[in-house]
Amino acid sequence: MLVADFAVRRGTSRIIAAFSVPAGTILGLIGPSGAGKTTVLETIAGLVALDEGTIALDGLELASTRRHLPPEARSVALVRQRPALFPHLDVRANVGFSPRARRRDVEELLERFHLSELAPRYPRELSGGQAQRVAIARALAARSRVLLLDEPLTGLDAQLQTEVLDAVREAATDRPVVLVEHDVATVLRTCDLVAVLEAGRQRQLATPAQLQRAPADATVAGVLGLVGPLPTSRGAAWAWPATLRVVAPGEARADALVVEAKLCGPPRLVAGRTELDVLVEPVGSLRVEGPADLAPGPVLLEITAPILLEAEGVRA
Amino acid sequence: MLSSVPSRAPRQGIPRSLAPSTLSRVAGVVAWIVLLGPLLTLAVHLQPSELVRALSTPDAFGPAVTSLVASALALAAVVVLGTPVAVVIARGPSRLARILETGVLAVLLLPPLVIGLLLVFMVGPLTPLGHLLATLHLSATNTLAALVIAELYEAAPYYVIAAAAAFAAADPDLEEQARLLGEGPWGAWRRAVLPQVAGELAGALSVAWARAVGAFGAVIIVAYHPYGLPLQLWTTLNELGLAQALPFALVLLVVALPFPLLAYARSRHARR
Repeated sequence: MLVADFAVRRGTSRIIAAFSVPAGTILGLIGPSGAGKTTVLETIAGLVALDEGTIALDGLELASTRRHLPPEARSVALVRQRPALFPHLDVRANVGFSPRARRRDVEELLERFHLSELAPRYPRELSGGQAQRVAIARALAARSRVLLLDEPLTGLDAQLQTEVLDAVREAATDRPVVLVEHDVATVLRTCDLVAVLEAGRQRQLATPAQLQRAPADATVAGVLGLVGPLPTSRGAAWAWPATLRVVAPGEARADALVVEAKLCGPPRLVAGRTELDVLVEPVGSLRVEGPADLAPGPVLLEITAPILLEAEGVRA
Repeated sequence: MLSSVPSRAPRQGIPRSLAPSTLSRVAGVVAWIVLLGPLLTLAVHLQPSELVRALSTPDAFGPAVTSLVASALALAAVVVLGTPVAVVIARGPSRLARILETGVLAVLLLPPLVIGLLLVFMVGPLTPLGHLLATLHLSATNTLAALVIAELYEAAPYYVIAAAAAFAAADPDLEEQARLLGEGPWGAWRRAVLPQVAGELAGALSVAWARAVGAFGAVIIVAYHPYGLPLQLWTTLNELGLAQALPFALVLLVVALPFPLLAYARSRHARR
């Protein structure tokens, strides 16, 4: 189990992260550029010293304010977007590079990652996906107890991404894996846990389903890419706080209005339609009722921002 | 009327604007001939009979052996002393790196004769260092050690500057990856950095070797004896004349050039 609860300073920004990743679990780290995702990985790997807190692996303290194990003593592998294969070594020698690697493991990993036929090739003769698979196999051959991946899918086409993700799932069977990836959909599909980082702060740690159903705040919803103005609330739910505009066509029945919401102003007539601004809070199901001064008829909800798709409890 | 001769397509992979024009090819060949002129002259003027006669004298190969031994020792010292300096310069920017680089450049720019003069004041028999060496029954003037020291000063800056450039161009991600895979700092440097720069280091060493074998300015002041090849050439020129000195010029080239040529061939091969 990887347990990280630390703060680290990088330049002028401070990055705070706290999560536990059991063996067999893939934790996805998402957030906008500059949120501190790579720094979190580098701190766990021992390339950056933390300022506060601890990082522990299976009960062994890797880093704290008093202790800093160097990268070579941590058994933590970091595979970056550019796999950094050793150009003077062939695939077999790359996979077996680590002094901890055993010949038997190297051969088994070459087989497991479908690299046996590529073993005599040099890195310059590999495709991007093949190179990433070699990098992951090399990390496992080093008997790394944690695998950290920093945007390993960038620049790969869909088929190569599938190859690499299969390798990641394979690697995660008996160790914690932390995956930084800018494609949120891939993270939500691949990971067991997701931590959302924004401006150096960990905003939420949840399963992909929890995250989609109940983002902690509008920032998280924004990171998930699930916000944006919609022409109608039909089939939609919202993140808190959300601003909704209730639009009632003239002939509509007055059976729909947002409750559990704060009115932002009186109803007004715009281009022949009645509009009402409301602020929904907190996150929860949307119940609509007719106000006393709204003409009867169906009501359209125009949700201006922010908005989450495919959440529960939505009625039009 | 359009020419009926089909125009030659530019070489594959080279943009048309970068493909050498006929004019630049001609200019290149002319420059090459001018640069190699002295070497071609040697081939024209050196008579085989003179070469045989010069090389059959009793002491013909003594200076060559002296030069080889002294240059090998100087090169070993250059590597041992120069490599850490090159690494620090390459790992800059830091104040130490800037200071080291400036110092190396200063030595590079010093005229060899000046280096020789200053070495006399630094390690000569009347200096504290000279006294210290004397207590150990050593001397840094007119000995093999003096020759090694003079060659070291003439050759080291060339190695350090080239090696620093090579280390600076090495991919730091590979060293980092080696550490993450379990290698300590020295192992990561040896297994991940050194292979990247091996070709460039060989080039740097070969330049240093050529400078050491051919060192003259500093050598003539601090190590007139034992004779190395350049001094053999110089004294033969002074005492016997141009024609008699010419065979020793060839010997000097034969001793100095193979290593650089091998290094060049290796780096060409590595680039392919």
